[in-house]
Amino acid sequence: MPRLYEAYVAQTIGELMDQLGSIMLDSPKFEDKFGYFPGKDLDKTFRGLMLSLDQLRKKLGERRYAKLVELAGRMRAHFEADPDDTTGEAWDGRRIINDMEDLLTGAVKLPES
Amino acid sequence: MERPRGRSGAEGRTRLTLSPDRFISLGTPATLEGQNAQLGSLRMDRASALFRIRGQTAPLQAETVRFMQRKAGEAFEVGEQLQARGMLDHRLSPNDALGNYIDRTVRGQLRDAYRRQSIQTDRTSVVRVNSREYISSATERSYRLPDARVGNIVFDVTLTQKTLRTAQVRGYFASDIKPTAVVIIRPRQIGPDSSYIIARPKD
Repeated sequence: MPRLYEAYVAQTIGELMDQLGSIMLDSPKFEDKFGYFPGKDLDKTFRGLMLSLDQLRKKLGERRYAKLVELAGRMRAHFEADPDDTTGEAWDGRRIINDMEDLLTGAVKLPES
Repeated sequence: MERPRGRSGAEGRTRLTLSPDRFISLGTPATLEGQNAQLGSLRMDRASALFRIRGQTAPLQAETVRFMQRKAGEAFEVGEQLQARGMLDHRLSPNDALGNYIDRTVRGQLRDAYRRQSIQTDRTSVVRVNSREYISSATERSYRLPDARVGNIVFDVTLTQKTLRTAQVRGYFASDIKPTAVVIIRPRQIGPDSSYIIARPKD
């Protein structure tokens, strides 16, 4: 039976990359204009992202996991601050998606602590 | 004692209950865009129900194409904006970077769509997203990675034109699932005849 929107929880790093691409597409409102996802919103989208990060915590390693959680929180704040995509802050949020992708692909490494 | 669901107890009258999880809105959308959206959603619901209850794959294949086509178009638009701002992968050619972004986005959206419909996409399911399809007939076991598969139809989101001469397409047909067709989905913005079906060649 169809149900209200709940994001798919990524099981692999590749699926998490796909999820970030999808978040980029729907930002900053997170509404689906084609009607496939009744009830989809920013809150449910980010709940799904956090569940994916939790699911992959072991694979990511503690430092990378913690950094990704921090970036996700900042990204969310940017989208919440610019829901109509008019002030430019939504683009700051999207740039954070790029930062997260770089961490996931290894294009950027965290400095040694 | 447990009361039968949908009955009002003492009077035993049937009470109609509408779960908010099933009906987001009961009204007819006022705009054409809204009506199209509602229709698309209902078609996907129907196709998914036919798959889950009767195991029919054909309606879900049709709705999967429609869904992927719409999402590929959306992702193309957003991808071009990202490219203009230098926000796609610099290590790839511009075309590959845009194609890569569209692929990832459509797959992410498709997983969400199947989840909403309670359709499994793990390795035990005939509905899969970006899952290995092995080729046992090759000298060394290899595999192809189609963007999606529903039953014996494979779906490939791409910017480039692919034909039976394309190694990737030949690989799909050689895979153990023996697909009857490969659906090539390209954003409509590319031009007419952007998407098409390649039927399995006769042996």
